[in-house]
Amino acid sequence: MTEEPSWRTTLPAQKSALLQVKSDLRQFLETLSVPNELILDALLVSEELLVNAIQHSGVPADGAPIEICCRQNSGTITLEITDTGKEFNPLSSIESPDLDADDEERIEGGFGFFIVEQIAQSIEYNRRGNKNHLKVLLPSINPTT
Amino acid sequence: MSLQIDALTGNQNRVTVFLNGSLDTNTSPQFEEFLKREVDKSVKYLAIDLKDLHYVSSAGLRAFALARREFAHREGKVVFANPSPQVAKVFEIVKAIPIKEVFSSSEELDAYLDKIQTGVSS
Repeated sequence: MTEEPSWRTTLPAQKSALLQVKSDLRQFLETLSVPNELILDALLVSEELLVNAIQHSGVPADGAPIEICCRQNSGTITLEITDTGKEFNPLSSIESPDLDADDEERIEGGFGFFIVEQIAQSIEYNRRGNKNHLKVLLPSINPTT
Repeated sequence: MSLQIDALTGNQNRVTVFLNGSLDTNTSPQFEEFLKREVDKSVKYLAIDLKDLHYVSSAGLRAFALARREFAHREGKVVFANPSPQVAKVFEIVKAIPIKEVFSSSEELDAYLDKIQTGVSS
């Protein structure tokens, strides 16, 4: 059995750390010749989930780091995000936003996880010990489309 | 990915802003600051050219909503042109911008703004 190409890193719970993580993730996916549209999907899903983890986990910036892992298997991409914050299941804790919301409401946010749900093929949440673990499968994209 | 912002001041209280790169959690404050500092309060119509904006996240959408609210207060308008595929996809997912305010070319956008600025109903 051949090993799936994978990439893993950790980051402190602060938004400034996202820049490097997204840059490294892009580089990993580019070396695998993943189609650009799928790379952008992976970056978007990662950003939205990491921002959620930073905002909701309650872990301080100097606390235990958040871990992100990306694997490629037969054209699909799997992203896994683990944090040691308080229990937070976005699938049950975040309500779907009102798509008729005006700009005043949109400024309040709440669209990030909805975007992830629309892009992902599947999303699984597990509480493992004292960790939140999210696993997201992105659908494969034909490079010619 | 970083964000470059260029602005072109047109006639009749109109400014076109060209976004290049990524509008996301890390760069949206730069865009919000740019609008505050570089776009005069008297400007009523803001055109945002998205041709070279390759990536937008929900933080970028929030920045657009802030701009739309600000220009609505001025009784003006924010319109968009040339969305790249990723930006068009995200706009579509969250219905971020009314479809009639997103134009597929700069020419269409200019014609639309010319029309509303000369008082012809669209």
